[in-house]
Amino acid sequence: MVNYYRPAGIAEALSLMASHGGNYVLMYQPPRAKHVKEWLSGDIIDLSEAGLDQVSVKNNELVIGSMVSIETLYRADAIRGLADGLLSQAAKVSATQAMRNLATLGGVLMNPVFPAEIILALLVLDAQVLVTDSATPEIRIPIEKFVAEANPKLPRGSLLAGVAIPLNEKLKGVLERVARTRSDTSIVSVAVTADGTLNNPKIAIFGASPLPKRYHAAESLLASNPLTEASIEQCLERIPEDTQAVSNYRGSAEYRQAMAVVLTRRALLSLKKS
Amino acid sequence: MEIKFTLNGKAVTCEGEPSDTLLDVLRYLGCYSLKRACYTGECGNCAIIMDGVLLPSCVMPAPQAEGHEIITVEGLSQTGQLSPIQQAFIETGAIQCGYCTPGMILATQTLLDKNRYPSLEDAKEALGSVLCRCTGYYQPLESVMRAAAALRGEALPPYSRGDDSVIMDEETKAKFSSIGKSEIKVDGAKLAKGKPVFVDDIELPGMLHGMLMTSPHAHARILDIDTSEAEALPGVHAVLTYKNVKRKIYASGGQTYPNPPPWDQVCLDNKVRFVGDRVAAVAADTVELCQKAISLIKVKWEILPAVFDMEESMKEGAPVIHDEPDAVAIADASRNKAYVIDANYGDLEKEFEASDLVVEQVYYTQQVQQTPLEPHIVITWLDEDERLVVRTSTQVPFHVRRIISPLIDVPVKNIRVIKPRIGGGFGVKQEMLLEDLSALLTLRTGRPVRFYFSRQDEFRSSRSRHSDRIRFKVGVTKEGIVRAIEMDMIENAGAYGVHGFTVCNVTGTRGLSTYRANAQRFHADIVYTNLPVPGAFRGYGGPQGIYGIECIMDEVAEKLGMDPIEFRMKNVVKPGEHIRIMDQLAEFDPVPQSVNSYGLDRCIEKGKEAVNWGDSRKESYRIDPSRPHIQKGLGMAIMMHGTAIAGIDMGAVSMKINDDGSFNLMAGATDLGTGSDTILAQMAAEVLKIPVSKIVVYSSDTDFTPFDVGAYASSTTYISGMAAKKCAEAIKEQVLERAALMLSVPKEDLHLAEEGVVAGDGRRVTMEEIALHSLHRKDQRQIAAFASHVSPECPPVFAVQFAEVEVDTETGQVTPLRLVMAVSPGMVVNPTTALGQLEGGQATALGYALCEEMNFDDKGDMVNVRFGDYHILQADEMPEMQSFIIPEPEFTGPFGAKALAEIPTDGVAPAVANAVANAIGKRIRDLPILPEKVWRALQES
Repeated sequence: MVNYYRPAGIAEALSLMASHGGNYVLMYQPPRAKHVKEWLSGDIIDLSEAGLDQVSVKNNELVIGSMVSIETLYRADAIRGLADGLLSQAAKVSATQAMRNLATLGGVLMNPVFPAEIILALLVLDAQVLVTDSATPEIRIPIEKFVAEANPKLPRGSLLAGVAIPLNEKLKGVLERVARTRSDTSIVSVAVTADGTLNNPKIAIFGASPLPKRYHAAESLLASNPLTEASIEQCLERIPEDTQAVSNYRGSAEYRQAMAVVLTRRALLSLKKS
Repeated sequence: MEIKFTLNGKAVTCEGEPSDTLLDVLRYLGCYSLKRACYTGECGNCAIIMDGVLLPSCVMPAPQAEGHEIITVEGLSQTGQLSPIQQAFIETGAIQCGYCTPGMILATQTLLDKNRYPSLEDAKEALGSVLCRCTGYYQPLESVMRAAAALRGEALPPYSRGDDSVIMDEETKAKFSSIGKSEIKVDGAKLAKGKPVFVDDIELPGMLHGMLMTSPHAHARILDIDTSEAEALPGVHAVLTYKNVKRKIYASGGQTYPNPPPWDQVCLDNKVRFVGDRVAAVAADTVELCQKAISLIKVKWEILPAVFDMEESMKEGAPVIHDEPDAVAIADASRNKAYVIDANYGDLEKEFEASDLVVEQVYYTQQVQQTPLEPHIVITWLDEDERLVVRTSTQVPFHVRRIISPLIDVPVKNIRVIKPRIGGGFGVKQEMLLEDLSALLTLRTGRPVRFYFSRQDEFRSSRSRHSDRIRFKVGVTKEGIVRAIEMDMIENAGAYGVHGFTVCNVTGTRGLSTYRANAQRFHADIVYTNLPVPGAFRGYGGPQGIYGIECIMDEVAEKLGMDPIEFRMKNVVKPGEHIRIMDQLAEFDPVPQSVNSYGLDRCIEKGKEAVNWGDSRKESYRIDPSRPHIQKGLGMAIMMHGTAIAGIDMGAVSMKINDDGSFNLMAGATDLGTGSDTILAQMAAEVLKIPVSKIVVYSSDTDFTPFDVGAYASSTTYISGMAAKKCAEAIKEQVLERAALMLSVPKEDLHLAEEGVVAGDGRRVTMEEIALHSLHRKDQRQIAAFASHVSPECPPVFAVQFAEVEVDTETGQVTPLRLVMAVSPGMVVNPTTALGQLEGGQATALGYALCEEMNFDDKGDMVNVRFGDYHILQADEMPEMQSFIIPEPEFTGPFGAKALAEIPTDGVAPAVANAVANAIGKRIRDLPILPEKVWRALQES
């Protein structure tokens, strides 16, 4: 017999979790929905009324609760205003509107592989994942570290509170992707950001490796060089070194690696033009 | 646990566990408008509005409803009045099968609640949450805009697509009262209200659940199967395996008696031939118990080598897939050849030698799935006379009855097959897939059984479109006259040969019948592999054949330096011409066929004008300097598709009058969303000069409606329609006789007009008076008739398809910009439903061109068994569409009508392929045209 709980706040949620030992499931709905029976590995704790569905600005950071819907990620003005709406665009391509209404940021973070555009955006926005437990109100984990595995694990007794994104009004962002059709899941997608001076661009790619990830080696070539067509080409030479593409029916490894380069070039040139 | 929430304005309390989906709980509460279609949240057919937000209820644990306010379509018309949105969906023809309609209506509601002035993009975004396989989304999008205007309080004129879409002269329009008019679909209102009209929308006392255990192996022998643990499980009532089910060879295709060869199936075998093949069937109290029981069945397998490639399968030494001794009429089981077709005329070699140019190419088509939103489902029970009732989602109720009878040892007279509304078919329900097992479980248990396919089962275990390798060789003179065409193909029949021969026959016919030549040759090997079984799919082989011929005709034109339309029109068959290859290609005995009604010239001219053909193919149009990696292209294809199967397809209709002068029309024809019930009513109404609303249509029930082969082969309008016309004409005679009696005038002095009969002297009796007189007053008799029809001809329909695309030359991604189709379907009976057929067919065909494909791992297991992974096109990615209907009456058809519904699936793939070639100068010769294939072609240069 599985029980269902909907705690009215974080404290109640943590208390419930503590009383269940490890035998509970925090119900963060991902955009690639699970069959209901897949939730049933323990009592279900639905966090939809735990106060984690807010988008706010605190200490020059945009804080997005883990139960914020993907639709809110797409629509919220505060998110649309960030890095040319990068995160908003990423949210839009993640699922249909009905699924965006249901799925949450927490669902994306706990299932970062598919679709991955939101994770790519968070990676290049230098987001920090906010985790809380009964002893520590806020534990910060860099997004890159959090999504280093296909199935991120939270320490027992802790819950995902949201993400914090440093605010930078001058930050520019670009999302590029290729798919079989406009609304299909991406074969390869690329997100890049850079500040107003176009220094220190950040590059994240999915589809050319098993997990979405930053391409630090490629970024490093642009860190000390102005963003020019030549420097971009130098940077692109490093992309294949970091790819571990896996073939599937949407595209072969060779194609994915090639698209990582094509889309990164396109994104960086777009940044340069902006 | 107890769950409390507000449902359509009323507080409800119900029981539900976290393992229950909100969808299932709401259906238990009577909200049958919510449909079971995927359970992955990807199709939106289960959508609800919760606190003003559209949500997929199939992936929500039921307790999530606690404390919330939920609206379903049932809540929109509680007073019986249709909401403006429901009304708009009915008027615009946005409802075909109606399975997705409630989801679309709720998506529209959430949009218009927030925004009464939506843009088309807003509408696409909203409907993008709800998959529809019928409409192509054009009419649903029109509904959104029309509903928005209604909700803004604007006065709306009657819905019309505009004169430009249906090009009919005033004289023709004036000739008819119902024909050629966009009558509202007779089932539109109940579908818009989400009424319980589908198979799954009934609950029977004591109903069990049935489930299929499927093979995890592509090719294996079952050495033993132990069901003892499963049978011992409390709540499990029956387990069927090859050990306890009679072995009787059959073919599952819903085709005319005797089924075309080969016959290579049995209900449950001791051998499996593809991943997803039948192993056992279980009946239990719950779905969960069925799953548990299946997990307890122990199978001792002998894994056999499998073969998936159709060319490998024919080689010596390949695994023999059908080694059973009792299979009937397999062409060469040792080489896995289910059937071989050969047809030819003329001296092919001589004609090639005499040609100035010979072009030869090989084209590949892929296996794709029909994906009706309603998966296969059947409910069986024994009635009070212990007759078997089969309520099933089928296109072929009469064939189902005939096919299952010998398998379950129940005579036909003791079987009643009921077809309620069907949530889409597209050919996949022209098959007997579950009915035999469900019936056997009912017979074993004595209880009702609900047996269904999950979406994953539907992908793995139902039917699909055949993949082919087609080699075309065309010889032409330098003036562009075709001398010879050779077509040599291999069709992948998968594990069983059902529909293999007949689909391939159509592929050959469609590949070779459009263009005349002095010599033609067709050879086909229909080959078994260990892949899921293809079958009938809208178009029925036409899309494959037309893809090949229309691509190579484009290639030949290019090599000749000729305009592709000009080249085609030099060679296309013309009115009166005999189509020689059809003398040899037929399901049974060939029937000589000629071109009657035509209209192609007008279609071509209309299409060219719409796409600005001359200018749009110029380089200046194709290349945009501001977007150097984007190149545009424009391509086209000519299509010819048959109407019914000559000398085979038969339909029948019966009618009777009621006291109020209305009529019951009973048809064996199966409306699977196409609107055929409405079409038949229009034809009868036209003859009887009464409104369509005075005809109550019922289809189909083998106990009560006359025989009809069912919905396939583009036959319903042409065959069943003629039966309806004949039947109404017989009724007309009886009505006139009765009026003559009542008015004491000769029948010849009377004519029908405005729901009654008028005499030469101006006196008039109404249809109601005639009914009352005949039923109650004098010389009482039931005014009733039935009629059947079979045609010795299958008049071809002609059409042209244009496609405009953008190609990203760096990624290879192809984005369709516009589809334009012009068709001459004889006389159009209902312009709105006809346009819906054109748009829906093109949408399916666009998916075939660009993305849809059943993909398998190296063990033969399909890997993309979710909607999201398989990807049928959504509303938010549809290109602009223009459809033109150019009537040109067909003298053999009812009121001049012939076929319409399949031809739109035929031309999109070649038109897109030709558009890509026009854009980038490279030919992609295998479908679908994925970004990587285009990219690789571009790398070659």
